[in-house]
Amino acid sequence: MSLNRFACWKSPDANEILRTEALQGHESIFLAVHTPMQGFEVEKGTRSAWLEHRTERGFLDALNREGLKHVFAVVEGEPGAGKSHLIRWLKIQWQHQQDLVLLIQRAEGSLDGTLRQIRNELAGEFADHFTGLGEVQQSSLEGRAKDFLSKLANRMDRNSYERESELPTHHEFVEDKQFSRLLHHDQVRSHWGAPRRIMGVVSGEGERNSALADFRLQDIAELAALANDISEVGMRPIQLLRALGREAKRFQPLLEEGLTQQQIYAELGDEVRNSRILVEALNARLNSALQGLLGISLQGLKDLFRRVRRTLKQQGRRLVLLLEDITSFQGVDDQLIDVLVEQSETAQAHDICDLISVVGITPDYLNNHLRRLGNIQDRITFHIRLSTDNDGSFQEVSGVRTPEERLRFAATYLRAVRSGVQALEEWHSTDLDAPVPNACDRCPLREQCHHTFGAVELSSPRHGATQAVGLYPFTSEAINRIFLALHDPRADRNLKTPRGVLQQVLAPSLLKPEAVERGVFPPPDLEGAWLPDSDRLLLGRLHSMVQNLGGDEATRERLRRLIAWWGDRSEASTREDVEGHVRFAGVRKQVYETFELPWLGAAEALPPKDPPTLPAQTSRLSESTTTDLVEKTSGPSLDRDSDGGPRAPKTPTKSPPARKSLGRTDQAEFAQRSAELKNWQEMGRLDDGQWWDARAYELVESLPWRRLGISAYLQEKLFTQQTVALSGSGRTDSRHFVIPSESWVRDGLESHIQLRVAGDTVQDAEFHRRRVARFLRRLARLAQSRVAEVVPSGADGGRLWSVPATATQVLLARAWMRGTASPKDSTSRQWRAVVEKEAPAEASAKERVDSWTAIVQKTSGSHATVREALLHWVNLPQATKGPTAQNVTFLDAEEAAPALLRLVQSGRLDAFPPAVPRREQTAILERLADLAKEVQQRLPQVARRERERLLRLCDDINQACRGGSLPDYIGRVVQVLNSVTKVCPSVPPGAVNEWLKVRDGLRESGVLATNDERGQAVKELDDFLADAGDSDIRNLDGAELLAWAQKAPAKELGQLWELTRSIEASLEQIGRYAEELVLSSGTAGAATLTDVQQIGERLMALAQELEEAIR
Amino acid sequence: MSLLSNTQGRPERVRSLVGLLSAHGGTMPREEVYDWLLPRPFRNRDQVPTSIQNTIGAASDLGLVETFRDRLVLVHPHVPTSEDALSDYCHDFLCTTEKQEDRVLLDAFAYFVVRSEQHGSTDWIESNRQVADEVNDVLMKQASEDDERRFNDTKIAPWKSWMTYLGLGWEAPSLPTFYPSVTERLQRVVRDVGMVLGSDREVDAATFMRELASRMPYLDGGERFRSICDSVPFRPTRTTWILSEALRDLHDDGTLRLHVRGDAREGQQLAPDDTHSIRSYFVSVTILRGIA
Repeated sequence: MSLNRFACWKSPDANEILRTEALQGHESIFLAVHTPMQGFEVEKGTRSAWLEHRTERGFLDALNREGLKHVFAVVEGEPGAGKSHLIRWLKIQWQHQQDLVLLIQRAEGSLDGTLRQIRNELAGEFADHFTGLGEVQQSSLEGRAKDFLSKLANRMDRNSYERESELPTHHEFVEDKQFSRLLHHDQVRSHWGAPRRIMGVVSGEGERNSALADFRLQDIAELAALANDISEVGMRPIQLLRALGREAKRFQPLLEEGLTQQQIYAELGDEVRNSRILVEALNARLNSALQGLLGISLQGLKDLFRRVRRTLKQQGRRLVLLLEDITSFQGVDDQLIDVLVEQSETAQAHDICDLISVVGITPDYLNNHLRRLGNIQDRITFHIRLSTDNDGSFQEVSGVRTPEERLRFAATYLRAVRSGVQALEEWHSTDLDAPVPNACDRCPLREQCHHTFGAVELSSPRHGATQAVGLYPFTSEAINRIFLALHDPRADRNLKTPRGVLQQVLAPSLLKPEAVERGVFPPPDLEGAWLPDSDRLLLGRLHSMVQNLGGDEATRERLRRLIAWWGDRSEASTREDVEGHVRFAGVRKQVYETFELPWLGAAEALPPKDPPTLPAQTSRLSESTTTDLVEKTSGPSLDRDSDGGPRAPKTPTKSPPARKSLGRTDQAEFAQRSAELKNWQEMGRLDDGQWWDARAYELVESLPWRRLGISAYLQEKLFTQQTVALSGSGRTDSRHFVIPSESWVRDGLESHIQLRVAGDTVQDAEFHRRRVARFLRRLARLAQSRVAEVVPSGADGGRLWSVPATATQVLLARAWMRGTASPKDSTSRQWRAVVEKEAPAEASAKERVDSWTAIVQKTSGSHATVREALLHWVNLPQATKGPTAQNVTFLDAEEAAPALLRLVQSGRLDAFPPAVPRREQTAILERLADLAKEVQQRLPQVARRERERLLRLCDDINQACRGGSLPDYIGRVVQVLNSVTKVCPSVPPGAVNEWLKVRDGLRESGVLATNDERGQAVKELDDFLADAGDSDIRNLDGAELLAWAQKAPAKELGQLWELTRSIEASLEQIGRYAEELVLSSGTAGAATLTDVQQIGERLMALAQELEEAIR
Repeated sequence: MSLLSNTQGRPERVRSLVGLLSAHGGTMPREEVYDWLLPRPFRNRDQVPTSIQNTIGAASDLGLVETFRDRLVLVHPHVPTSEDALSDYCHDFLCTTEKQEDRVLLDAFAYFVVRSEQHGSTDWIESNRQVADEVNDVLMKQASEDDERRFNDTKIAPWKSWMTYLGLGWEAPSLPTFYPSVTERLQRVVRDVGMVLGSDREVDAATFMRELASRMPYLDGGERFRSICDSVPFRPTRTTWILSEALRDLHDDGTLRLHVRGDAREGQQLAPDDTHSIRSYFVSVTILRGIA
């Protein structure tokens, strides 16, 4: 016989016993599963000193203390904390037979049901006392909700109250805002969900679970959202709605963050004043509106109980009221409390009996309702708390606070379920003094079972004996792990309660014993809605091991569930425990075998971890139930071959360096982060995207950029903290380097953060390092692809555009045109002209052909930026980070040098993309491509065109010189002009002045010496003119031609050309003058022969001069 | 001087120098080279910066450049200058060089492989100094008494830089100071192996491993690896986990296919990995078409 597929309980028994409601009538079960309650807290009460022992028995004794005529006891606790259980236990244990003990259960959760219970309990002799206690209307919930809203709206009007003193709080506000008009509006009546929700709560719709029926901030937001559909209610209500809308925008994000209403009021203060007042005003009128619906008068409930107490007084009896949950009375709870605090001794007629009342309330009700009722708190006799404050969130609940309490609690139910209802009833009916039946006592598999799954020693003070109750099919780890993971995502309720243990930990497995019998345990139902996804995941190496297990998906899922809840989902090691059992991932090998799941552990096991430190009170638990409930500690580092193969020799080593903390990151946060990654995979959306982007950037930053062929320039432009983004982490655009949601990314990031959390085994740590290395390898490829996306291919479409090559060539072309470098210079000199800050130009580009000038002009605005980018691109600093990383310390010539040489050789730029996509970060690339286009359009022809221009000038000048040398020509022209002005003073000044102006310009520029028109400069120009006819010049090409053109005295030639043009014009003008002079002399009729002779002599002299000048 | 003594002669700078010389037909006057790599206006003083001297030194150590009178000459005028090709050249050179000072680079890496295998992880890597001391201790076992220290912590930074350049490891914030990972290099070597053994055909594991050992002597079965194993001492019984991991990476990438025979424990034994479909053994390899 083995444990395989062995279910030692029956589903119907589990169904009966695990019900948390209506145990009345099942006293046997109640007693069998009852765990003595102890250790609760005692708040201030008028007789709290009489609670000598903080146990259920001490509480019972205090209630029964002699001479105590009136008790108003409050049992405070979160829903599920055990208030009802304690109150039911009081009922069972109540010894005074003459007392009328009235237990009102919370079973139905509705006011109607509660009143019905009272009616049933008091049936018979008290039946006639119910006169005046109304009946709940039998209309539909929707109908009642509308009635409720109407009554609520009416309660906003002053006219609804007979006396001024009855006016509830904030009546001025609601009157001033004409709020009732709003509540009467059709849109509100049809679409505001709050009244329906509240009526649902008080009617017990669904599982009430002590939920309060009240108005909340969310209801105000919902009301404000109707603003657009509401009109014709007057200005004041509309203004109010607008104000509420503004306020809702402020408080809704805080509500979504999980802040309580009180916290929001504290944080936003007057910013949500209208909303706060309305919530308070609505709640202040809620009870009276509900009472109106129930047909209960304000005095109805009070009168009922007063009548009952009078009757009991007459009978010499006491009334014992045990109310499991006061929220079940909501609507008449104010009246009920009045009933509970009315003392027999203070009643005017002393005609009512003594009253012992015990009322279950939630902390929510206490804070939001009871504390508002003035001095009621001062009249509480005993106030015990089954839960304690826990950092302002839900309270920790007594009885399940510690792992040991939870195990004990679970074990009592496991014992009962295994025994079965019938056995319990027999026990109850025959020998209540005997120990509770325990199926383990007679089970042949007991030893094997308890050894594998653990057991809890339950002792009974009543019997003095202890019983070992097996935890099968759970283990201590499973019970505690599932319990601790319970979480209400809406934060509406605390699930870490005794009820949580029953409903969420035990029930899903115990209700389906067939899962064990069919070999499919643990079943999927185990993971209900209250177990967060983040806690279901196996982490790191474990996840990969199970994923790569092969076999069927169902088995892998069972294995995952088993490890996630029975074991340690973050530890993929095989380890001995303190009892010598071998565990893998925290689960004993025999557990895998029992559930027929594959064993993934290694043949050899690591030694046990350091024994966990447990509180002293756990000493009663067997060791098998006290394993890793505390934070795990890392054990010695050893390698293991999981397949049992030969293992590498080991040598002792020092401890590895302590890993850095992720700040608040620990294993819990790591699990949460892993879940975010999992969600990213499934939903495509990454929560806390900024945090993840920062983690991704840490790895991006560490890539070997230069090895990848990515310059510092591109690295700093494209891969910054602002531009690195994980897909789905937030809004991205073309500026972002988006890392996709792929498995290697998720694995790498998960491992990256896991490596920063201490506590991994050596094997796990190495697994994570490998994944980070794999991530980096793929990330490197991705980064290169990103560069290829931003930096397009050259125009030839093949290789990636070489930006430094184009930048070098553009800047060099500019340097050539400015004359600061020549293609005939050494390459290093030309390179220097490229990267250095520009020196003043050696020659004016304005005296050149248009294309020459244009290259300089087009690049004027951007050359400094291009140079700066080029230097950034080609700089290879030793340090890649820090202040020295920007210093120019070593230039990368690998692309620049060949580019420079190619330009020198070909006079053409390398291929560059015709268009570069516009991007903010790399705008310079677009500019560079534009500049390259401008240069490329002109550069190949510029030298040839300049040569043609220069040679044309030379031809014109040489023609003017009429075969003579330039100095001779200039000398002769000077002589002519001197003679002409002397011989013919009346010669028009314009003709001479133009020439003189050009001559002065040549003198200023040094071409002509002041007193020597045949100086050196002129001779040099003359030499250039003489060479211009040389055929070699016509044959020059490429760098040679450009160098020749650069050296040509372009400016001076231009001036000379102008000079010759003006000389020719002057001579022509003088010639015309002479001709006119002769003609005018002959036709005037007044000239003498002497005049004619003088003119003839001057013309003769002029002609001789001219002849000489032009010869 | 050695590659590691020229601490500022980093790979990308060597590539710059080689590219410069190559563009100029393989030779240039020294002064010209200086003016290219750091033009005078960028120098603090009119002297040759250490970075340039170290780079020329490193390139000389790698057998790429030599000095002839006042000129620098590229030893192999057609040496490719792309990142990958030059990395291949440097890898091959360092695998075969007889110069002790430069053999240190891959000897040190072999120590990383052996030590990591011995430890089962890289947890032994603590700090630059500790790593340098350990590497030196092992290398000195192969040295004569008169030999000076072969490795120290000042050499770690350039060593890591060269190892990363060769595709033998990574640096990252969550990794040890240098994390040995040979996948990048192995991928390039497998391409060459494919040219010899052929692609799209199964090659038995032993043949494949022999080819790897001859091309990556610092890994399993390689001459440097064996030498370091003797010095440590360490007796390997299976493929090191560093090489095993790289083989699995390439299997996953589709560069090659590792073949297993059912659950049989035969062929080449890998370091076990429960998280991978290739658990412990492979009997043969197919280098996939398009890689060779």
